Amino acid sequence: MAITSLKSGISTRSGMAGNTLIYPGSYDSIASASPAGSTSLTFSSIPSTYSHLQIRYMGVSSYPLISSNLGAGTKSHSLYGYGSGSAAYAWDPLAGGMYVAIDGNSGNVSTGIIDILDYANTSKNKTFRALHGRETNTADSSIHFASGFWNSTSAISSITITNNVSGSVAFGTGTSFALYGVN
Amino acid sequence: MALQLFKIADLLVESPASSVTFSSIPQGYTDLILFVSFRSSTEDIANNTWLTFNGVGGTAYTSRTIYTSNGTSAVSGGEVGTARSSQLFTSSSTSPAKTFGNMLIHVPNYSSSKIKSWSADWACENTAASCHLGLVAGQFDSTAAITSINLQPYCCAWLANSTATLYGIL
Repeated sequence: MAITSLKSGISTRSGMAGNTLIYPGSYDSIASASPAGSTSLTFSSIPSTYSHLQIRYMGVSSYPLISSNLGAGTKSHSLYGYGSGSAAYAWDPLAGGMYVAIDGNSGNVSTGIIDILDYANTSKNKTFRALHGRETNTADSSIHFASGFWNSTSAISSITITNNVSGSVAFGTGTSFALYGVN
Repeated sequence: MALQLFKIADLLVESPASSVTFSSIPQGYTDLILFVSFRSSTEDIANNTWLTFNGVGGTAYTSRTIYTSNGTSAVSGGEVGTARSSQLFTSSSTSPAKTFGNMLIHVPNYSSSKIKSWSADWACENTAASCHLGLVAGQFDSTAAITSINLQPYCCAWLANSTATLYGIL
């Protein structure tokens, strides 16, 4: 019979010699959502027990914005480019909120990762950093890198992703977001 | 299966520090990931961060970057054969109080006997259009396994409450 033991942060399958060590992972699934047909999704009641948060997503979106229980944000910045070979661009937005991605063609599937470091650390303002790609098999394919911050030291306990500034366009079929806690 | 991410060590700057190092990094993972949330005492708009591995200097570092520092245009650049990588930036004392940068450094195959490559994305946060953010691809010209990572502000010091967390990926 397998016996699990914990000692100094190391878990063993059993106390028997020769068994493989199992180390507790630092990456936990908190929640996931499939918001197709909705214009936004919210992860609420986020526990404050992790060091960092990460959101991984894929789907059909249009200029998604991030907000939280701390509000729409204080400032965000963007760096992006297209597959056309033209020069890369930068943008200093906060018209309507903080953009996770510039993804204007709502008919294409894209993917991205959003990191929020020290989201529960009350000594720091909260920041996010997001890397996003959209492949269309045309020169319109794009990569987008964004960051932003909330000028608040309160813990983040909820995160909302809105599909676009007006909130009038729904996420497309197949869209999914997953929230992870990183210890 | 969930991503197999394991914390190796974390670091909190409690009082201003001129440099921080993750040392005695264990081998046995596939890749390393380092989350960095730093703020420095420089009064420049952003802090240039020097990255070194294994305490090696000389001409071991080459990197390419794309970044913005004005909110309207992107710039590409790089460095070849330098004593450190200097393409990373974090927040400075010109950022709003208690605002720290946000950076991820990825070092794949850090135990390999091949020359090491790494990548990073970073942002320093402030309320000015001149906020810096960028992407970097780098090379560490060494076949030795990576056992330490050092982050040093080009001047001044890392301020209190700067944090970094090092993970191993299986």
